[in-house]
Amino acid sequence: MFKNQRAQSNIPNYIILSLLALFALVPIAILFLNSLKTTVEIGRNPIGLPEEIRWENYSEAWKEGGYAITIRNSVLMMSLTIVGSLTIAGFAAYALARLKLRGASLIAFYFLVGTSVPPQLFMVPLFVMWRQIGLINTHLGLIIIYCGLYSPFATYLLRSYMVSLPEEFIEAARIDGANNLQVFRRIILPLSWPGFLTAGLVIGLNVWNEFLFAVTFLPDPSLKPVATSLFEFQGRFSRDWGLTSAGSVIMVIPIIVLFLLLQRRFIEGLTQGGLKG
Amino acid sequence: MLSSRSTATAQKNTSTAFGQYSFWATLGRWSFILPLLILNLIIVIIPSVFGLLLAFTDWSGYGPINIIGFENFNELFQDGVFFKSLTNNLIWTALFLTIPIAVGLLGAYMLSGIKRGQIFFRVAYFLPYVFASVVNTQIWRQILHPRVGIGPILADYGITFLDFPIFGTRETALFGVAFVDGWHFWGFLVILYLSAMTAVDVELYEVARLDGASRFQQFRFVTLPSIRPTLVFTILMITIWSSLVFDYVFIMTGGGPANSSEVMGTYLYQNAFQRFDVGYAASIGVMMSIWVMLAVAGFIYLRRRGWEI
Amino acid sequence: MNRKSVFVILAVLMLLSVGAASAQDVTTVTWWTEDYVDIEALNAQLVEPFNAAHPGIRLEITPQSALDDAMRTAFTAGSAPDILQTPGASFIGEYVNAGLILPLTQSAADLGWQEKLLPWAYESGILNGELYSIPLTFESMILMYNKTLFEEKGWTPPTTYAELEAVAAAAQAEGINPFGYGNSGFQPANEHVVGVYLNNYAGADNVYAALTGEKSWTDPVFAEAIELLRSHMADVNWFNDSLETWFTYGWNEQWTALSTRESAMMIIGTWGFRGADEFFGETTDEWDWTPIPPFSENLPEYNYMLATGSTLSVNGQSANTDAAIAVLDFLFSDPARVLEIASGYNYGEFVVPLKFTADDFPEGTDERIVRFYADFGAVTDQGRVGYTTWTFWPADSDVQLWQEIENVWYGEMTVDTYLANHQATWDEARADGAVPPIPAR
Repeated sequence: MFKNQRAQSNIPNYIILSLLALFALVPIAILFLNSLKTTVEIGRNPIGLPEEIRWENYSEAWKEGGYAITIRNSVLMMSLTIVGSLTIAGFAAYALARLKLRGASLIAFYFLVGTSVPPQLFMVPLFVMWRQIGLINTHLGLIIIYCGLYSPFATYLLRSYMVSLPEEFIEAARIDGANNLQVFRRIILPLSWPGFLTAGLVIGLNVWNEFLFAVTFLPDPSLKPVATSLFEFQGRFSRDWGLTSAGSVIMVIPIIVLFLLLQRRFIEGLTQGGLKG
Repeated sequence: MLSSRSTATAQKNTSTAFGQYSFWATLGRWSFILPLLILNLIIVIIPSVFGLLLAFTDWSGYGPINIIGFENFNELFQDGVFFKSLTNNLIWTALFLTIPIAVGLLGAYMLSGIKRGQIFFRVAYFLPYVFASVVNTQIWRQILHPRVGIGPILADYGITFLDFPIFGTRETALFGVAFVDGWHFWGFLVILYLSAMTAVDVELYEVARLDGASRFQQFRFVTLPSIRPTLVFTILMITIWSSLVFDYVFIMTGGGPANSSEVMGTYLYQNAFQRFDVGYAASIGVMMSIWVMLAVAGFIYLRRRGWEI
Repeated sequence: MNRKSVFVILAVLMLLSVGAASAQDVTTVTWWTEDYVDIEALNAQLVEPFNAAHPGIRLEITPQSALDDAMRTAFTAGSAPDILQTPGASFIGEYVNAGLILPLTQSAADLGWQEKLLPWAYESGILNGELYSIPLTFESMILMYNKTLFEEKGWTPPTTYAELEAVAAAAQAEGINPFGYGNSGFQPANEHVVGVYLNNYAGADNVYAALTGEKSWTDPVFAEAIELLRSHMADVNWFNDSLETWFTYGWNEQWTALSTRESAMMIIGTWGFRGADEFFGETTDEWDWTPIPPFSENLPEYNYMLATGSTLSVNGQSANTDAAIAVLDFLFSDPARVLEIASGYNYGEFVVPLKFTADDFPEGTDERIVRFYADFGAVTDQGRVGYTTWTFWPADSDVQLWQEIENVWYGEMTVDTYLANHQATWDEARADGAVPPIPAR
């Protein structure tokens, strides 16, 4: 695709892309400027340059938000949830996309309706169950919940990739005597990696920003994830916006690193010829 | 057109695999999906059934539970605020099914045509999606602030259309919140569409170009049909998420002024956590689930009619 | 298969670690609090002194990011902490009806709490003849103003409605908004003004009569109060500069406005001492406060509205109730300690309603704050008290009050319909036994 479009002029692409980038980035730049101000200055001067640059907002936010602990907790939960739900969802998506299952539509129906119940409504029964099993105040308990919550989305996303894979490869493998599992491992996995990267990224991000379940299922403060750090800057009616802004930038950095790692792999794959290899 | 035909034939061939009618083969195929089914049953479905059954009770969130039949639903169907929020959810769905998808497709298509700067644009578009809702909403509240935001600044240059309290005016509050939520969301769609576009066969573009197809025609007749499963997937997810929308509305307007931006999610929250009427809140939750069932049923119907989705 | 066995092993390990942790011979009392508290300071000022004085008990205070949600879920599962901190008195009725709270009447009598606490505060925890809760923080509504601006313009803090109108008119003539306030980020802030207009126009006696069911909320005096608020809000634009801006102003905007002379005054609770200190700290202007004047000539004197910001109770399902009561008694027996903790929040949190004297305040406390607590004690002692909606209204009535008032402001609902709806929620709450305790007047 790159090859054939290079013949056409790229300039219109860059103009449109740059406008979109401005739209996305200008508010983020304002957020970054605000992370260097006091709350009082943000009140007087919410979108301009800071009068005096306060880098100490970052060290203060780091300390007050307890990021040293919460980032560790979140990285743990995020990586295990990504591995767990991609495993579960990968198999399930393969089954839905490539194995003729009787009633696949009904299963689709079942999962989607399942994602439609507002979490506040099923959290209490789930909490009671988790307490019976002794999973309250454990990361494992929350990881299992996250896998259950995010796997259906990942399944659908992966399924949409697997549906469009060329059938010839699979048939060739089957003629060589491969069983379902071998087809999955040798053909489906290598061909649908962009889907896995994207799904992993989305799941990781969901876990990173999730706090509704975390605050309820982890009453012990030493287990809290990074999304709850932002609560530390809030009072009953007020919020320290300087520290909140700095804290939110701190919180985003690990996600950007993850994103760059995954996307670099993504783009390397593209330039090597990607899927069609 | 070319590509949609080729995927269609590919799909029909799936059934040529062997051994698919024996019992063990069936069990083998189901075992791939079984872990997901069991996990989902425990985490979501069983607790959800309990949660939704509360719609037939007057539970306050604490203490004894009394069954009151359909009383909550009778009240709900006469509740003007509920219908207002239902309408707002519909407006919200219509907005999100059009504007972010269009911008997302545009961004992804443009991005798929360049090489230099790929990483930069990807990160740039994805950044708003990464930041917590509490800060995203705050940035836009400041940018659009009636006193210190860009509205009064632009007004000095004669551009006055932003010079009013967008989130405090009944006619614009919902659209203002949807704009901010959309701003943070479209980059996510770019990432989804882009990864689907990488799977498009390069040869298809070559053929189209040989036929003299313009850039737009290539998009219309090659890209779009090729990424259709992903496109349909996002449409389905947006329809579902639009019934659940909560955090951006709750943080920015709380459903106000005067319920003008109320959605089912905020109304449910208000009933469950401020009025201590969990039973009534659960009946709103039931309506949300019915919405999703209708949407999903629509998709299944389309698939039965032969749509490749 | 492999994955499953890993999960089983992990689950067993978790269960073992839980079992090991609970084997102790000291009674541990748990207390969950809001997570904006400075937990290190609280540990030093309260937890460590308490533990040192009570060798057999170990107090553990844990901040929770979403206290209400965490408590509600924990209650249902039977794992709530021993000491229950609620975000307001309206929760108490729900807890009591569900049988979750231990009555404290006997312990309070044994330990003399009634003598230690302000009378109204003690009575505000009595439901059906039993004491269930004690305010952890009390507050009241006051009128804050930009003192430097007032002095420069030659305005005096209003003590009557005529003076208030005059100041508002003078400010508007100068292009300054009379009041800066709004509900952005906290929609229930509407009730702060509704409550003040009911109290200061209709008067506390009438409000009390309506709270106790002797008067209907549809009475003309309440209709006039709401109509006055509506006209200030929507017709003469006393708040910010238009009705619409009410919905875009939050904490930051309103304090920025007051400290930069965009607005002249603010009607706010005593939690505002925090904001005043912070925002005026970075300007050359000074702030001060005055009691909110009566809005009607029929009312001779100002009063202070009573409010509890958060409450303390003891979990009825707890096995450590004696130890939990010891914690409460420790807190109530030392006014100086309470004020030392409260000073960390500029007297916006942890102001337990004890009988403070000026000597109890730490050295160097802001004169304006000491002046408030002294005047509050003297005035409320004479029975000149009013009622805040978030303390004395049932939950449902309270939500209706701050929700539908927006429809009234926008002219979508008449004042009469609003008040008729309000009365209906009260009738229902009274039938359900959900009316919070009202201290006798």
